[in-house]
Amino acid sequence: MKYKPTEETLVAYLYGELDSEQAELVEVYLEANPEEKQKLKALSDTRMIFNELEDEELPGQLAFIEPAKNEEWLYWRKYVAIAATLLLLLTFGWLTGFKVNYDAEGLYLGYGEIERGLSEEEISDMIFENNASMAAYLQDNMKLGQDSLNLKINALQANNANEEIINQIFEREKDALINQMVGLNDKLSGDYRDILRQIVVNFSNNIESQRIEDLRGIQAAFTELEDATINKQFQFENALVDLEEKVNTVIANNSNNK
Amino acid sequence: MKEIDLMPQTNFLVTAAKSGDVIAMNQLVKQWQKRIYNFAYKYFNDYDLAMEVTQKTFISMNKNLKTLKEEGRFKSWIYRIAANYCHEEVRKQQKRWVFPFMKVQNNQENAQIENSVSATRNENPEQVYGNEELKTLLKRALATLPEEQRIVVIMKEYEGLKIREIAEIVDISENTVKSRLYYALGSLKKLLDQWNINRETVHYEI
Repeated sequence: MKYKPTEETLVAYLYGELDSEQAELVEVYLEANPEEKQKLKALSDTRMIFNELEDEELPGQLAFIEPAKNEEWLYWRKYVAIAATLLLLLTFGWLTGFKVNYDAEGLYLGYGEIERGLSEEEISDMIFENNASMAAYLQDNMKLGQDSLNLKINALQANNANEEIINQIFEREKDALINQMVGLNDKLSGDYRDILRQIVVNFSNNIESQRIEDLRGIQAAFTELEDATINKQFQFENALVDLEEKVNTVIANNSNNK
Repeated sequence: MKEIDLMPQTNFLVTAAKSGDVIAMNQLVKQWQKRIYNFAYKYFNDYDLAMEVTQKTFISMNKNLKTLKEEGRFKSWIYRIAANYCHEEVRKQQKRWVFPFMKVQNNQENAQIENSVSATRNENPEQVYGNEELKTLLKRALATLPEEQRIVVIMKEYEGLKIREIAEIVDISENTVKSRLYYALGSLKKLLDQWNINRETVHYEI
């Protein structure tokens, strides 16, 4: 039996993709046919040489890769960040010698060796000192206020003197103005004075005539009142006479009847 | 051979990403971006095009991962997306009448290769190739392969996919994958012979 593998089978053999049974057959064939074996070896060598071509690195990042949006990761990332921050703080604290100590006497924070804190006495001293300096400060402030008040009063007094001067000036100005007015009056011509006098005369005449008329009216009213009064008196007297007569007749009748 | 395992945790990440876990999705991208980029880079021998295909692949992954039914098929699925975008890019380039790996290399790199090869031959036939020099030549050699052979070789040699997986990704029979590999390796060997590159002239760094 003369077995001759096809090219396809040889390739499969070359790549180790033949089942063992077939591979054995090919091996036997190749042993019997050194020429074929040589040919196949040449192909195998070619493959080896081509495997010198190595992978290249990507020249850049693919454009579309999205940043991670996974919520679970975001959730954990928070804690990772917190842990990292704490670690950083601890490292930093350790590097700078920051120390925290808590015991019966209290809580101590400090860089390097922790020194004991202040005693109660020292603190009360500090408070007292602080109060004293505060009082001194207040005193100084009050003194300053007083000084400025005094200054202001002085200024006011100075202003009073000023008022007198102003009054003097005012008086002077007033006199000057009156003089000017008198001068002006003198300068006015006689015509103006006549007209003015006429106006005044007319005005007083008017008032006079008005008064006379009023008086006349009053007099007339009085006369009328007098006349009326006399008439009334007269009528009253007549009535009295009538009454007397009537009374007399009544008396006379009475006596007659008796 | 370089064996690239299905990356650990991939199945887990795929399941999580399918249920809307953004972190898992990002992790998946981080895990696979280098593979997809290198796949595309060897395919095009062009950084920009490789980056573009990588971007598009992962945007598509983001959008369509929910439609992936079996987590175990993620690897084939992602390479299939990348391969499709590679094809699309080639079609675009053909429409423009420019092949990215042809446009620069034809003039400059050919001359460079000729120079380096002839120079080494003249100086010392046992000359050991420098690492960078060798890489340039290998990339150049890959670029000469027809596209359908190139994609299969890259998936097999550099991405460590099984023949069965490649067949599934490229949507061809396993036998077609094998025969493409066979012819591709033959062509590459011829080129190496031509440039006097062999196991003796290649400097292996330990």
